[in-house]
Amino acid sequence: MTENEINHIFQTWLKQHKALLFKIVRSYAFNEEDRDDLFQEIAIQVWKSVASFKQQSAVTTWLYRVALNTAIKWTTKERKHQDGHESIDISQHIIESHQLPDDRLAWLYEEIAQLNEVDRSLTLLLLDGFSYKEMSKILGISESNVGVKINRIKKHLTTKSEKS
Amino acid sequence: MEFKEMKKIWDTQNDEALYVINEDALHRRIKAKKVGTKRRTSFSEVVLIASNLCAGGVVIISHLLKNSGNVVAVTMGAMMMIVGMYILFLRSQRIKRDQQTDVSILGDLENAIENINYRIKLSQSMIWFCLIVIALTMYTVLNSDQSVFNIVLISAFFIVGFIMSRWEHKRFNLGKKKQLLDLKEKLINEFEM
Repeated sequence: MTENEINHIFQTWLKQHKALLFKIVRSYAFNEEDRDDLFQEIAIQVWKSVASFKQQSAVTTWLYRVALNTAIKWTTKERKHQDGHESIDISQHIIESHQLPDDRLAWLYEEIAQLNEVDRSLTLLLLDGFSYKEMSKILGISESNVGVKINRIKKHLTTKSEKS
Repeated sequence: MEFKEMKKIWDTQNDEALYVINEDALHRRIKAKKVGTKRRTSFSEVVLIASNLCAGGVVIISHLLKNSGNVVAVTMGAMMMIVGMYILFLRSQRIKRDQQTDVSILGDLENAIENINYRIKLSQSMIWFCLIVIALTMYTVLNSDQSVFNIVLISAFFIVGFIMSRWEHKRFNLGKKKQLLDLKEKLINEFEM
């Protein structure tokens, strides 16, 4: 695959699935600089992954796997632009966020942010309609474990919504 | 609120433009990042392969041409050539492994851990190999007509090089491995009911 083909596929994925990527970024990074940093990290990993995409799964499943993997790793390390290895111009933000249209959506993001990294990824997959089978493939764990975890998350979120 | 309701609220994001991507800024940052993180493993391998093959070749050829009869130096040159070729073989194995596609986050993590283990092994082997080369070089230098100043200079060069390689090994490789292992443990523990 030539670099031009990779770039073309990357641009198409970015256009068609930006909502998916933004949901992950918003769930794992909580200020503008961090969101920019995580988004750029995810964009790089997605770009690198284009050549190894073998169409054995849907593009959304592939993107979720790459983006979640990047986000989970990103949360465990220092932000890249703090280590002094790279001089990155941060005067211009990559993503400009608008106000969320619904207060309940903001509440949902706040609740997701309280969860640990793994539960967060499962919640995102669940809210985006992935099946247990797909979730187990994306995370590399058994379907039964996914099922138990999902039930706990659902119960937790429902209880929290009743309290608020 | 029922979970179905939450899902409906969640789906409202799909139709609204909540974010705008500044494509120029993204392009610039990706370019900067690609340069910054340019395949550290690959670079180390190429440097090690080239330096060992070249240095080994130069040592052997110069001693053979001079017919010096210095067995220690020729042995050292041969060792460097063998190490260079061995790293070349390891590199081809690593590239083959990297091309295998992973299908899960856990699989990705395991692959990343394998790669860091490879870097640790490579780095450790080079530290031991470096010690042998230092010992042989020092033996040759001490048995030649070099001045004390030259001997001190060569020793200082080796000591600094050795300390730097230990530092690099601890700072980057071991730290990164610990980070990945912690993450894997976290992921596995999360699902142990």
